This record gives sequence, structure tokens and C-alpha cells, in this order.
Amino acid sequence: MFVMSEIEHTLRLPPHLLNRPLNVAIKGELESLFLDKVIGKLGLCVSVYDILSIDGGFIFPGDGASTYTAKFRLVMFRPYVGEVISARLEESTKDGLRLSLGFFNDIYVPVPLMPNPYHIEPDPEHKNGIKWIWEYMGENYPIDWTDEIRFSVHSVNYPPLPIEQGKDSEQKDSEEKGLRQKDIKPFAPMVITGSLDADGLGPTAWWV
Amino acid sequence: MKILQSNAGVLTNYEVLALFRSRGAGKDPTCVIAAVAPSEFKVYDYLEQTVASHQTIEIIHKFVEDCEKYDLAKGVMLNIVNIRPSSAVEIDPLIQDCD
Repeated sequence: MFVMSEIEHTLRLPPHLLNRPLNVAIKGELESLFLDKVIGKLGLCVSVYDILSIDGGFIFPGDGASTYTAKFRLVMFRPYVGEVISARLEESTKDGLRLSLGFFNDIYVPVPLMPNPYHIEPDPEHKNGIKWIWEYMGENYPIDWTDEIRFSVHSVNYPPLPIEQGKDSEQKDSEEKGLRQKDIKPFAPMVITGSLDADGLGPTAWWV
Repeated sequence: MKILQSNAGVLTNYEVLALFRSRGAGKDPTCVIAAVAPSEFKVYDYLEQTVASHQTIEIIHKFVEDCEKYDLAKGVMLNIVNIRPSSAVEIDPLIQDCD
């Protein structure tokens, strides 16, 4: 689930941090730059593991801050295809499930990757919710909200950043724009697609 | 920003948990004083609920040694250490062509 990546980055250290020891200040700057951000193809940055080297310390003309080139290692959350991860259920709709790890909520299990055969029934407790039930050997196994669910990583995608809609929509009807914005889901820079369609996957209560 | 090595080493859940613990994540429930950011704390919370919270580094070393005779792929061993399957049916999704 977690991988270390070595990165080299040139960063500007703001002058108000000059009274701190150098590596503490650089670590703080790196954390504010990279922590909890998704880096393309590398995954979600979870933590700064260590700093390998700090070079530079040059001050560019007209600038009050010094610029350093640091080499450091980051702990990235980057599951590989085929990895089995335990997660909790966050949303269950007709398109499939959405699972959450606490720190990462964009794990989708689409309908083709649900355990086969299954049937669905509307969930009375959650608005727009659907309860998924797996049928096996005559028994019905539902996917409940309290279970720890194991899924196998099917793929990891990094969708490109969307282009801003911006100025043209101001001329349109404001009510229409309001409706549109409600339906738009917040952009997810990293999406994991999981599969539940194998022995041993799905809620652990089914197998233990 | 330049990526020097995108894969400088794989970490088991236990190792990441130990990293957060060494920074003091477990001792302070409000996490104000510890050198752990709120987003890191969420990862720590998740890992505490998995089997990694009960593992030690010796257990993992011993497991890797014991598995040498089976010639498993690294990814498979990592999966097993992180999930700790206790029955045959749980191992099946981890290993291809399991017999």
C-alpha cells in the first residue's frame, strides 16, 4: 500500500523561518507543499520520510528568501494492481459501491466488479441507497454498513485536471447554474477501482 | 520538482505505523503537540485498526525467512503481511494459481 519515492525539489524558504534549524524548517516547508496532495503517477503523499541532502542556500536578487535544492523521500500511498485492502463502506448506490479508508475516500467498485450473481433492493435507511446482496448456494449475503470490506485493486487512475468553466456561465440562468453545481462531484485526482468478485473478497463477515 | 526514483522501497503497513509512532502519534490523543499532521493522523488511525497494530519487526523478518522456500512474489508476501489471512479462503485472492 505504501511506497517510498525519492524526490528532488527546489524550494524557497520564507524569511520568517530563518530562526529555525535548517532541516526542521525545510521539513516543515516540504510538508506544507506535499502532504495530503496527489502527485501524478506516484500516488497520494502521506508523509515525509526523511531528507537526504540539502544544497544551495542561494539568495536571488530582489528576493528576501533563500532557495534550497533538497533531496528527500516521501511515503506515498500507491496500491498496486492485485493488492487486497480492507476498507469501510461509505456509499452504496445503483452504480456500485464507494469505499473509504479514512484518509482516502475515492475507491469505487462498479457494477461489473461486484460479486456475481447478486440482486439489489432499495435501502430504507439511506436516501437513494441500494442494498447489494450476493446470492451463493441458495443463501443471501448482504453488504452491510458496519462490515470491514476487503477488495482487490483493479486499477488506479489519475484523471487529468478539469478545465475551469469560468466566465461564460455567468450569462446563463443563475438557477440553472445552481442546479448544475449541486450535481457536480468534487474532483478526485486519484481514483482506485476495486473488485469484489473473487473468493475471500467482500465483507470479512462472509468468510470468517 | 524532479522525481529521482519513483519506487525507492516498498513499506509494509507496520513500517508506516512504526514511523508515526516514533513521532509520537500514539501518545497524544488530541495530537496537538506531536509532530504529526492531521492528515497523517488519519492514516495512523486507519493503520491502528488493521492487523499492523499488533505486529513487530521480528515477526515480519521471521515471516519473510519462512516464506523463502515457497518462492512467493514480493507483492504477494506484502499482501499477506498486511492482511494476515487466517484461512485458506482468505489467501485465495492474494495468490494466483493457488492450489
